[in-house]
Amino acid sequence: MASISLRHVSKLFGSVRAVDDALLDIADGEIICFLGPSGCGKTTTLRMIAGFDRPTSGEILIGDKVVSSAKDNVPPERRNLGMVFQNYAVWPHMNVFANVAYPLKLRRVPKRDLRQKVQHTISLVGLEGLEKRYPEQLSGGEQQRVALARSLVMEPVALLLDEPLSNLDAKLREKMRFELMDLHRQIGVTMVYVTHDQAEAMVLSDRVVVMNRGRVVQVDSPTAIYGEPRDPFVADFIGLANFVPVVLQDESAGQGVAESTGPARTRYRCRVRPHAGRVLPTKGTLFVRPEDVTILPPEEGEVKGTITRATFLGTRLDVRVDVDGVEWRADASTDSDLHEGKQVGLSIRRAIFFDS
Amino acid sequence: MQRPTPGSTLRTGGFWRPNLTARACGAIAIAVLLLAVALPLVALFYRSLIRDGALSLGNYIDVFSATRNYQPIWDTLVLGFWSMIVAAALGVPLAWLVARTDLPGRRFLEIVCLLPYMLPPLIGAMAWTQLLAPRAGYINQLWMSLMGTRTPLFNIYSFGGMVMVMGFYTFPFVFLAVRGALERMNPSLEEAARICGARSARVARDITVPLVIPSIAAGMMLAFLYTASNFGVPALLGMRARIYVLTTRIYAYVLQGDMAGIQLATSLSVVLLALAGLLILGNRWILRRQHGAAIISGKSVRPTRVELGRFRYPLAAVVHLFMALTTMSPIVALFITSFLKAWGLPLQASNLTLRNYQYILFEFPLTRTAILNSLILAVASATAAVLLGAALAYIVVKAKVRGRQAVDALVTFPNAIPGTVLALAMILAWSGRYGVNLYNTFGILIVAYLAHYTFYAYRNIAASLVQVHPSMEEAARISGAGLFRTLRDVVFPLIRPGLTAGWLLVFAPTLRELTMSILLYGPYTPTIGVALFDLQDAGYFHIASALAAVLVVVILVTNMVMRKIVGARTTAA
Repeated sequence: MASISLRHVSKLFGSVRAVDDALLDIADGEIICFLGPSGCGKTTTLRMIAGFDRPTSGEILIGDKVVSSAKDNVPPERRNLGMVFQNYAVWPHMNVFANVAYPLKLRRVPKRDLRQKVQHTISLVGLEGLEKRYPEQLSGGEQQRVALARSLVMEPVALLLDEPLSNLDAKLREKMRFELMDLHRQIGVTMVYVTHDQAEAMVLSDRVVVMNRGRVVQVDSPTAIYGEPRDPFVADFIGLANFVPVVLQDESAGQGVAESTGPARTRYRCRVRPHAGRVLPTKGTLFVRPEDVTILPPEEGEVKGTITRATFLGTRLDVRVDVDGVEWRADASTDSDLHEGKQVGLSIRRAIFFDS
Repeated sequence: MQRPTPGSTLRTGGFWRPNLTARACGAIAIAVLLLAVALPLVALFYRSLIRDGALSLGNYIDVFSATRNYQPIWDTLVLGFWSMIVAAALGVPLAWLVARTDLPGRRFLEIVCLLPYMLPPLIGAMAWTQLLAPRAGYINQLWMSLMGTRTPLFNIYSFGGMVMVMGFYTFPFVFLAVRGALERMNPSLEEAARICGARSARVARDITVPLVIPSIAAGMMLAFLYTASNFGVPALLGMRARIYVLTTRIYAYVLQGDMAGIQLATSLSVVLLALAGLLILGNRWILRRQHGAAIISGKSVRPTRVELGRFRYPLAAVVHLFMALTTMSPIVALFITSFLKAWGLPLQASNLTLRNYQYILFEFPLTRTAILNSLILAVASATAAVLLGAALAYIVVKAKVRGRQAVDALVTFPNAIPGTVLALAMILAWSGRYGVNLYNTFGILIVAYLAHYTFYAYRNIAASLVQVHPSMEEAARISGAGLFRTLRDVVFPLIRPGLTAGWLLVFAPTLRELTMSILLYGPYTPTIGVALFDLQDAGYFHIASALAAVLVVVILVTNMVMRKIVGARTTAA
């Protein structure tokens, strides 16, 4: 097992910067998720780690060995990595056993050893009894497990997963997430996981790498990514959020006061990231998660508003409140008596100011 | 009007009952199909089992007891086998180079590979004759003068000559099948093997080749079928060397003109039909049981191209030169000959002339009649085939009547029946025995062309019809349009490209048809194919070449128009 490092890795397809100056250290045994919208460069990054694509500049290290650079590229077959593809890529002309055994066959593992290792891996992913089956006789979830077993059987230095669960149905996807976590707990292999599904990234990873337009935007724990997004893109991409146009009036020691641009000039206390060269007052956006907004009687709370809509969503109420000309979204418990036209007060637990 | 059942799964546009006119149209289309295909084939089987007015297997016993009858069966198999091997030897590497490498000029190569697909093998045989005829062939002449010898390099009038020409004209079947398989194959299947530790050669051996083998086999079977069905090449190259295959032997028996000849031809036709049936069923079987998963593709559908590195340019030179020699040079030879005052004259300005063209287009009655006839026949057949194909496609795709699989089979299968067999079946059914005599008329030719080629129109129109979602028609009906109004205002405009392409796909091959025409033409109905064959066989190479050159230009233009309409990828003629 090994760590993986990306050092200023860029990839150009023609004039398109698919990956732009990616800088990242993945620790040994860590689960890292690359998360971002399609076309953000996450798959290209993974394919560069795998060795299928060669970086235009920068280098990639596995352990302490440079495997990719503009000059030199260790071919995929000599990187000793495991990879699970989005469409499984289980070979249709080989049965389950042959698929899983293939990497060992290439490494000329003696027959008895091979049989034992293959059996072990097949039972690890829960496919005992299906060894003789061909892929067309397997369900999508089972093919997924074959792909997983095949990528683990030769004890790779790291496991790469390219949106492995996106072709499964919702129930199975959730089940597989936890199975992947259990698997990681058992074997502890470094995992690099590409997904556009934020829930998947949140559940699985030690750290999430959010990418947008080829750039790494933020690398942090799931909690930090959700609670402390670095910029409006991350805030918007992950979870739901209110964005309110404001003018920052005052700031000190990471705290500030922002004023809404509406006629009532409502003032909000918020967190402000230090920013050299900021001149007050300055325009920006206030970011607030709906669950950080509490609905109170009109006389309480920092700001006042009128409910424009309350929608029952099963476990909670999705409430829209007009505050000073801006529609806010708030979460409320289903037993509260909230209806259209009701005057309410809002208390805001946490707000972050982003410069525009 | 009946209300549609809510949530009905029968979204076929069939919630209304077709009116009488619609039913009548459908019935007529199916009747035409039965008369043009089913009746002649039944007549063929029946006659093969009749001997002196009684049911008997005597005809088959005759076939298998005389050398001159079973030798052609054997020779057909051997010729088919070797052409299939040549086709695979050319088609597989070319498909790989085009689909999977960075070979320079691969787009151009792709077009060159499809050229033989468009031109009839008859023209190929003519062209190769001009290069490799024992004494006067351009290449043989060059060889003999260079070497100072009197023995030619290669005699085209031989079994080897037939294998060569058929191989060059059937390799596109393998090429197309393999290229398709390589392009559809999910690249991550190969990437998965690489990440497992396999080097590229090993990936090819363990993954790519096993997954492509069914396509290779399917393409080779089509090449075999096409060779076994071909008449022009063995007739021009083989008969002179007294080599007979099934098609030419059947032709010779029919030409014999007496009852005994017809009897033997009929039995041999059933043998050839059985061979064709086996091949096409084998082809279908292989394609059906091909591993489904190999074709499903994920998101990374850029095929991984092999970098040829330092072999890139040398290999490109070899491949392009080879293709130029095998596909371009015969056509060039054909055009050169067409400008010569007489075949065999040295290539000098003083020997060049446009007279051949003037002769065939304006003076010579045979070619003038043939050109006119073929044009009339091609336009009539294409139009009839589109009407018939559209009606049948609608019945199969939209109306979904019971027994539509039978209708589909009756349109599809005759396209795989060797023309010689089909023509003989037409003679047996439509020369008076059952009350209607079409022999020596345009009628019998059109019926035969329809039986053989309606499939092209049908397939294209059916493919377009599948694209028209039932709700399109339902929306028109709910707005108040009747069935025919709906067809005219909604369905017809949407499938127009399919109709046009279908028309051209029938027009092009009927214009140059030889195999069936040579058995069915009468004193007033010679066709271009027949004229070409007669002129070439009689040794008037320069005149035949001029006619062939005109034909080549017309076919290429038709194909270009077709590619514009259907899109660059689907062509067959």
